[in-house]
Amino acid sequence: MPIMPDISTHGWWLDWSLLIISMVTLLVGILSFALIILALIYFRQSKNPTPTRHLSGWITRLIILDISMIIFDIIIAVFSTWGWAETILKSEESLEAKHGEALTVNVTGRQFFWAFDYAGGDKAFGTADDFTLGNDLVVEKDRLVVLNMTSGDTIHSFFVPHLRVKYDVIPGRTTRVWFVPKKAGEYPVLCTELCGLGHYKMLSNVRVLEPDDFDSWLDSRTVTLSENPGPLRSGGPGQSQTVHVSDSKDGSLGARADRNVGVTPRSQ
Amino acid sequence: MAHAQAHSLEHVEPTNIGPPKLGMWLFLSGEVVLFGGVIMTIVLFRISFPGWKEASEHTNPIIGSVNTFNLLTSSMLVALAHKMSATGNHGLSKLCILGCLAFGILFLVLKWAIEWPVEIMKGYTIHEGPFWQLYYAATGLHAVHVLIGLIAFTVILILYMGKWRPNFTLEATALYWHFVDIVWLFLWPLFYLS
Amino acid sequence: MAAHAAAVHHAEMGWIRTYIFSTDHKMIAKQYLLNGLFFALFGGIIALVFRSHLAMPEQELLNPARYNAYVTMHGTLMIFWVAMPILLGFFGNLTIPLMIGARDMAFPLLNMMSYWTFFISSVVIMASFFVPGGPFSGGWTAYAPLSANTELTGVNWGINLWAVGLALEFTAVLMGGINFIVTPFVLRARGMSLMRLPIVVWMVVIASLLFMMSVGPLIAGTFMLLFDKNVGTHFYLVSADKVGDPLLWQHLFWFFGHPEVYVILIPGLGVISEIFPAAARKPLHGYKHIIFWTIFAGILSFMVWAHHMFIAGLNPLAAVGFSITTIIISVPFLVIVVAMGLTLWGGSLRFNAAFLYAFFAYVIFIVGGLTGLQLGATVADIQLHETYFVVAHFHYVIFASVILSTFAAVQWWFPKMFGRLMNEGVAKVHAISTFFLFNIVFTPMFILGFAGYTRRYASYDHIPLLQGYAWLNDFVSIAGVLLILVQFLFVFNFFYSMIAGKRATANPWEATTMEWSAPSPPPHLNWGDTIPVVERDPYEYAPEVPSNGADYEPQGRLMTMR
Ligand code: HEM
Ligand SMILES: [Cu+2]
Ligand SMILES: [Cu+2]
Repeated sequence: MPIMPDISTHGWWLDWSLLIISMVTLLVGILSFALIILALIYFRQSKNPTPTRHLSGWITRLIILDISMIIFDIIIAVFSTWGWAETILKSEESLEAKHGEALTVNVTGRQFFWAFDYAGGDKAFGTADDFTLGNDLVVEKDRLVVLNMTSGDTIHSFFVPHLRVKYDVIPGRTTRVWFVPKKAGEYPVLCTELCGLGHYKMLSNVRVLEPDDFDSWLDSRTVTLSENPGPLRSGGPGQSQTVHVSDSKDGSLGARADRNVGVTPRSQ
Repeated sequence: MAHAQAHSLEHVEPTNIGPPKLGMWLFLSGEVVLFGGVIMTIVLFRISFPGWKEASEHTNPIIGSVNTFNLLTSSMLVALAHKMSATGNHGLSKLCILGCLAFGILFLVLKWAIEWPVEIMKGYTIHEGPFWQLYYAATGLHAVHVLIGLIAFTVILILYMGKWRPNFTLEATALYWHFVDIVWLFLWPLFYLS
Repeated sequence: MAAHAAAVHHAEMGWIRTYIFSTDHKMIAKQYLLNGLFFALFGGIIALVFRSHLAMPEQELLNPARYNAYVTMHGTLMIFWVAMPILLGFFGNLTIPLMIGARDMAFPLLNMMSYWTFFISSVVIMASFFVPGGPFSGGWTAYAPLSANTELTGVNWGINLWAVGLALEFTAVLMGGINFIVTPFVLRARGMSLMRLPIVVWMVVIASLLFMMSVGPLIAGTFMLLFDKNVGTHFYLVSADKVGDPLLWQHLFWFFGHPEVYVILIPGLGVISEIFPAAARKPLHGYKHIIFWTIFAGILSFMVWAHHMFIAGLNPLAAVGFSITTIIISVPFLVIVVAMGLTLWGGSLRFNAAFLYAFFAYVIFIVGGLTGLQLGATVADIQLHETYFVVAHFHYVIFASVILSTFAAVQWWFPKMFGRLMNEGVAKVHAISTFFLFNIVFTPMFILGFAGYTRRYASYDHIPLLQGYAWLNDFVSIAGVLLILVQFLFVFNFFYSMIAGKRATANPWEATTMEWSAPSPPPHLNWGDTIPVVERDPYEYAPEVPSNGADYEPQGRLMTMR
């Protein structure tokens, strides 16, 4: 399949459901087209000049078809609901029980950028060490990430193909997605809900860092707090330019502050 | 008219219900869905927004209830008018239509000339949150329906004064009028009595 | 004779009453058809423009705002100004009175008003191309708040005209719908019981009922949208102290939207099932089953709307319920599709052009239905939602039910419209090339969808992730140009045959239903001095005891009036 490689733990559910459902669909499709083509060949006028008015035994065949369709439906329903239960329906508690403490990031979609609010070292929002990244979500490999998303203007949709995450971001509501990245690297974020003329340019990226790199990155954020312009939630439409000011993409990784000197090392 | 003749040519009318009546019922079922959508929205907002109850205490239940009475009476009069005209009692029928018109106009006057201006003067404009915007939109839509009904009755009455005799027209308009009445019976508790 | 007098009267009615403000159902059908075909061509060309822009964004054929506007108008026009007028206005008007043996619709005047309201709505929507700010650009689904706040798109009048145009169009279809439902119930010829109605009549009735039952909330919703945008209410808009609900619009829209997609599917299926028996020379298989299961699917279609909103912030548990209802809908469609297939099975197929069109529609519809099932599976939809996969899905369904079955219907009923036949050769070339080009354009979109190509992007060139498939996307654009170009074959065939086509006999296809016993074209009031009387079921091909040496028995005959 031309689908992007999966770097999440739950993506398995999507991919396999998609694969199984697609295969069954393809099978049904191929079977029906085979029958249709047979009909075209055997029942053209020159080959079959006198039509058969009554087909015999079609009721049983229809019932068989119906039953197989229902089985096919049940397969689809079971797989999709199972997958849904393992991904979207998971509660935060059960996730934390399984994957350990979550990194919570508040996401705000705006025309046409993404702002990611971190709680900073103290893991509490609304404190002085909160900071905001624009169009750059930094997460730690193998650690549960929970995104609480909302929008500052219109509906956007947060799509990370590699992470098998897609969910709408709605003004006045908070929606939640989660993932556990398995592989370090940089992955694109796309907006998948038409949100205005810059919709197609509303790109961002997720940087998955190795735990050590992540810790030092977080520390460096905390250390450089005084230079941080602070949370960016107040921006309005059209501020996509200014957001890059707080984007510390190059600075943070390089400034490897010593972990032990950092204000709040990650609790183990 | 060409098509009038055409229809008289048909030998059979397989269904007992006449075309216009069926058409009217269909139209009304469309209207039911329209107001169904509105009422669904009201219920949704009511559930999801706190402050609905406080806001609804500022509507005028007296005018609301008087208007309920107006519409009910008017509806009853129009049913009578239909009955009278069917039995050939045209004078009474016209009188009933006139009465129905009067109560309908009273409804609109109370709503548009007194109730709304008073609310707006008190500061409850359409911008004052979910309750008020729905209040204006829903009762406004309903009032427009009342207005359309009144225009129809006026036309009928004017024609009726001459040689023309309503039979189906009156029945269809009466159906519509009952419908408008029923919609109000939903809006009234939603906005005035909670 | 009264009917004769009426016909003479008609001849005297003059040009305007005959061709412009006509109450004749056949003329209104033609008006709807031409209006619809105009927008089909126009919408197609718009698509061509924005696909060209995608293929070469550096040329700046469109700016991003215009790109969005064109995508929006393409969808809007194709659904509301092509599918609706043709599938209901054209099919319904042309077939219902002729097939049930009536002289006209139950309310001819209402019928005329319906068309002219539709015409006004067409003018309104076209006007939106010329107002400052251009046409609406928030997608044909018009999700609020994007559609409810001018600041977000920079479009002001475009939105107003879009909403007003839509409301007018709904009014027109409602007026037509009343006719389509009432006429078959009250004006059937003697002997035409409900279970003898040709299938396409049933389908138009069911479609009109679905439309009527679903459109109300959206009309209310559209007014709320206009309020939000122009008066400053907060039904959908959210601001610091006043909260509306952006999801409300989606609920109202899709509560209408899913029944609506059936409205523009079912009459198309009706046309296919009308042509299949005549082409296979055997009765329609499972007539009653088709009707029953279509009604069942229609009722179910009111319970699936949130499958468009699985990940739109809906309660995730509700999504499971909607997913299951969506999956259940495959059962009625399986029965319908199988019934159609069994109609061909054992037949003696005549490959005329109308059959080719209908057959291709059938094949394409199956793909559309199956992929719909994939989208209905909640978890699969996470990856596929709002990607090109969805685009491919609905084009497969809609192209079959709207475009191809319209071609089939025009080819089939051309004699009843213009008294001539369309050219078979040109039509066959057109059918085959359209079928292949269609698949070439839209099959890659399934792959693009899997690959993560999101819909409604004005350019993909700046996204490194998607570059692997850029060639495929370009390929789609080029094939798309060809697909539009071959449609001119049809345009040519249509107008050429209208003027210079072969003259048609009353029943060129040796078909059974009542319209084929009227002359081609039928006069005003259809039956002249005669009265149609129906004697048997609609599709009596290959009768056991042929009464007249032919391989079919007409559904009824014309009795001369005493
Ligand atoms: C046979 C059963 C069908 C099923 C199970 C089905 C299912 C779906 C689903 C689940 C979606 C949402 C996809 C998404 O946005 O993620 C969808 C979209 C759509 N479907 Fe179908 N569908 C079916 C038939 C049809 C038919 C008959 C039509 C039209 C004639 C149609 C037209 C559409 C359209 C226009 C959309 C896209 C709406 C948009 O712009 O977002 N579908 N379908
Ligand atoms: Cu966007
Ligand atoms: Cu749907």
